[in-house]
Amino acid sequence: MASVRVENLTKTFGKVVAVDSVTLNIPEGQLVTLLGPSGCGKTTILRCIAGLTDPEAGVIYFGDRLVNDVPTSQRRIGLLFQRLALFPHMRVFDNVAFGLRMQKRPKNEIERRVKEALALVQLPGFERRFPRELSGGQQQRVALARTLVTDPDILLFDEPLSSLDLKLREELKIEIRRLHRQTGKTTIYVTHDQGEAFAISDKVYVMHEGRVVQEGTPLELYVNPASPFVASFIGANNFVPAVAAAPDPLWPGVMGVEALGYQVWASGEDGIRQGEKLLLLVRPEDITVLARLEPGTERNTVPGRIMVSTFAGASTYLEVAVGGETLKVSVHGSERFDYIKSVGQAVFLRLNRCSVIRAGGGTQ
Amino acid sequence: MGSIKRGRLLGQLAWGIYLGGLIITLWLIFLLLFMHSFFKGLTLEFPPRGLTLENYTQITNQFFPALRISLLLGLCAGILDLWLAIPASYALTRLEFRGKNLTNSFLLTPNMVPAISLALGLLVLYSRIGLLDSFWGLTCALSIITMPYMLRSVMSAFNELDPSIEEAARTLGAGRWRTFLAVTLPLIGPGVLAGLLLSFIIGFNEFTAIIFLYGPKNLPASVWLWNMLFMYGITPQFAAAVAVMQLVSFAVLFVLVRVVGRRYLQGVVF
Repeated sequence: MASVRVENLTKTFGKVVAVDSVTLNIPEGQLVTLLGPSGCGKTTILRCIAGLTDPEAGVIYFGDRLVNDVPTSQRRIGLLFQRLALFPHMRVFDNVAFGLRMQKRPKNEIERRVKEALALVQLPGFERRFPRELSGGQQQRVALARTLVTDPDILLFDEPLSSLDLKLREELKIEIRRLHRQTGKTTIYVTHDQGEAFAISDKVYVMHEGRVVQEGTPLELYVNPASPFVASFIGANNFVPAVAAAPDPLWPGVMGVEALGYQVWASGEDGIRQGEKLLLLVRPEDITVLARLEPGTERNTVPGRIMVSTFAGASTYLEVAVGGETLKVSVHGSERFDYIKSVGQAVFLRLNRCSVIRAGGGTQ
Repeated sequence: MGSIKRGRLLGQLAWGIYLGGLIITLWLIFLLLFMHSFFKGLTLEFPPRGLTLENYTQITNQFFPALRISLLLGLCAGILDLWLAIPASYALTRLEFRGKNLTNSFLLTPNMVPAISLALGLLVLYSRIGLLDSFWGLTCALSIITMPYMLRSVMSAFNELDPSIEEAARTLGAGRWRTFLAVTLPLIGPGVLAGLLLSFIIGFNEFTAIIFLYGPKNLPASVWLWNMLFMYGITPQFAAAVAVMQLVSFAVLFVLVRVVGRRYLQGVVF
């Protein structure tokens, strides 16, 4: 096992800067995710760590060992590929045994460890099958077993779930987290799926156009996105223009802003001056819909009219017109049934948790 | 409703006649000669005096040694191509370098140049270095002619192979050479075999170039036929010899399609 340290990694393809001076610090035993849209450079970083792509600049350390010039075969890594990359001409047993054979392990040890690995991914008894005879999820498990069986120092995952259907993805997501708890291996996971990243990671690096734009725990990113890009990428989809007013005299870190034609209290970064142009972020799940205004609920409550209502089983999604803007709202719990046929109804929205960021902040 | 159905039927019929006619026209010429190989006599006659297999037994003595030379030439040229084509295809599909497209064009187009220009060039060269009427001289000539086919087959096999399969082997501790032997080679195998058989067929039947380079010690079947034609004209024996060559070619092509599979021949023969 080892920590992974990447400093000032840079890689260009032709004129495109795929990775632009990226620094990562991954402590031993953590599961870290590189999250970003396709083409943001996250896979290139992973390939550089694996030694499959040569960086132009920057250094990569596994623990204290500089690995820039170490060939892939000697980096002691396990890489789970997006396209699985099982050996189509080998049976499941030989696929899983491949890495152990490269390590020249004795025959009975290979047999024992392959068996254990297949049991670990819940595929015992599949040794004699060929990859083409397995379903997508089973192939995924074989690939996982093949990656784990050699006991690598570092595990690398390159969007391993993106080709699977939703149900299987949920299942394997939990499995990956469970395996990480069991093995405690330093793991770097690449994905464009925020839900996946949040569900499994100790820490997330959000990437955009070759750069790390924010790093933090899932909770930190969720509560305090540093830029509109990060905010939208991790699923906040109500952005409302706002102007900074006065700080709250009672709550440090909370400030008053003019938004939606009302005074709204929101958490914000330090150093925002009065009159500055801001964006108010409020998540659909952080809004409560009230049929009428009750005493004690006036703070951060704005009137609106329901324009669209979509019932989706576990929640009902509303679009509510407020002060010339449209806010997306999701209603959970038993209240979701109250708003199935509610178009045209006048309601009050209470913004339970909202934050502001500078309108031009971050990279976009 | 009925008329629409009838219209569709007529359309299908018209296509059938057109395509069927095309096939018959193309293949009739072969069948014509093939038919004559079973007719009795010393000249081509129609209607025949009778049917016989004698034409085949009569040619064994002179034709079969020539046939043997051609089989060996086709095989050796293919095997020679193989050693050159695998590294070249690897470079052209897996490596990035300046002038890759140009290299690609130069390597894949020699068979677009008239074979006679190659033959005359080799004639000059071989007469200087004494390679005329030598088996290996002929092998090299055929190898040059068939190389683009081999390259195309092997390159398409490399293109079919997902590079991440090879990368997976490397992450699992296999060096580049081990990866090539354990993963790459078995997976491009069908493509290599396709190239080998295709090179064989073309080398086996080649005539234009080797007519300038052969000699009495190394007389290939195609040239033997040419000589027969000059001495005796088209005879039933000649037809039998042609039929044997055709059968060899078809047999190899059959093996190619059945064993190797269509997948690897896309853009190469089909």
